[in-house]
Amino acid sequence: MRQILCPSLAGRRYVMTRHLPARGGCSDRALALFNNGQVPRDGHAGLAVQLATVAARQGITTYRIDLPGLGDAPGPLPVRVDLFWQQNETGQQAAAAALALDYIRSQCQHSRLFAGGLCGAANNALFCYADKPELIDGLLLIEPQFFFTQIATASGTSELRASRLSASARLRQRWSRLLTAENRYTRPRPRVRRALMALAPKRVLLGGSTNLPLAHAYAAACRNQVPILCIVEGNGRRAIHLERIERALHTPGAGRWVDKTELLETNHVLTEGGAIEQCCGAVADWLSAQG
Amino acid sequence: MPVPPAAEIPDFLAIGGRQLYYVRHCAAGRARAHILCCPPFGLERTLAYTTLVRFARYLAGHGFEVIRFDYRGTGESDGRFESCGFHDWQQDAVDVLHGTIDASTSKILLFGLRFGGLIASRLFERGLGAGLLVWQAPPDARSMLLELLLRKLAASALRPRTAAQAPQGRQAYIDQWLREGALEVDGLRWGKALWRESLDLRLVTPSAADPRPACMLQLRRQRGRPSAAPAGSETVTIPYPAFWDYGQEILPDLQHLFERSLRFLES
Repeated sequence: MRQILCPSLAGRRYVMTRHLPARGGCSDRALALFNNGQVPRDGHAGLAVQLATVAARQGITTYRIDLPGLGDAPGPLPVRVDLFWQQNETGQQAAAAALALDYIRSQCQHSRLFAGGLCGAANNALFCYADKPELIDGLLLIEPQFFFTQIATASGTSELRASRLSASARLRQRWSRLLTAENRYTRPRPRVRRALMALAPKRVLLGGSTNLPLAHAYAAACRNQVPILCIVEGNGRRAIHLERIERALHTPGAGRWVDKTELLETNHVLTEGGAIEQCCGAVADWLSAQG
Repeated sequence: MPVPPAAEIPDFLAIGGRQLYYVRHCAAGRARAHILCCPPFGLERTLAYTTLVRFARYLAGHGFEVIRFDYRGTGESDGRFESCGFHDWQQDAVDVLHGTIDASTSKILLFGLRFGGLIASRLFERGLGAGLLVWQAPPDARSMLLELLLRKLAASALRPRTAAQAPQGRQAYIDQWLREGALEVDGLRWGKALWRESLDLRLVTPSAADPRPACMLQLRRQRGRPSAAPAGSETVTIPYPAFWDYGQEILPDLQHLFERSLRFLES
């Protein structure tokens, strides 16, 4: 059973779809899923809808949220995609996301709230946790993006600059890329890249395009024993950044609360290789383990 | 002149135990006509969503009441995509039209983008609607599926895979689809019904004898700022890549397209 909610929060209109558990009424636990980047709240190929259906089947009330400006919710939007991502990666959408979580908390008095989604949604959930940890009791991070895409898209300029670098600087850069698995030889070889990452100093692991505030938010959630499910494209860029951050920032035992699933032969939005089904399976298992 | 904000009401239409999602964009003031907006297919629907919402708001601001909806098994509507076919989606459009618009008191116009254009043209052929506006519809659903398979093939070829996993060609996908009963394309599992029904769903161009107005716009993709088409032209330029494809702009400049469409709807 689905319901539409259109709350006005801080003068801005949100549009949400609420999936109620089969037995009716709201549940003690709830799951909130934000927009996957700039796409509407159902997600690519209905990923968010399928996750919500799985969660509702487990007796968890689930909310899929269009933040102001996205999907059916009115509001301003940047003209260009890169500006949208700049806002997302610097946590500028987190306040709007936190308002939605506050609203959901007040609905039916859910006692535990999990939040997350794919890519930009995972980023928003992490930034929300960093700002208001009391709002979130668990994180569902699908392909979280622990790096700035702005720097990545400006790589053309970086390469130009690299041609003017001294030979020693170029050599240093190549070593960094090798140790952090950014290079094409180490990236697809997990055992080799893990062995090399073990040699890399912390400043190298957290260097380059790493989104440090987001990385620290993740590390804090791990330290605070927040249950987390991380689902990443196996050997993908986001999986490797996650490895780098965990290696650099995790204290002993911090990873104990993190469940991880790697999906092979897929893409960033999970629209290949039957990844959506696998992702739903992993989420169902994780939610049932959260009792 | 800035367009005044109009009310938007999202809701579900309960039909035979199913929930069909729709959004009503209320006109600013008394509605001149109602417009049923038929969305495109699969990933194109996701990527064109923001533009279709913008267009609906634009029309609402100019006095039209617009109804957007999702076919069963897609977007917010319930149902399993894999078990749906083109006939089901055509029926959904009819159900939404009858369930949300009072035809006895209002003029109804049909609008569709890409696949939605095929659906809108079929409804128009059945005598529904007083006017038809179509943006860049494929000639039929089969061509659309083949085009999407070609894209799947191209995307697959760009990914590193083992030789055994490498796609053999579009026909290999079709064989796999018919053999296994389903094929994953852009994350959606296409059921066999899509292939079977795809030849039935063709773009129907209204006959010369039909007095109702119809406008089939071709959208020519152009890099840089699009230029205005001469009055009466059936081709409008839009920024490249098209707004139903991956691109760098969330809000591309579609002023000419919106204005050209509005001129037709007002006429």
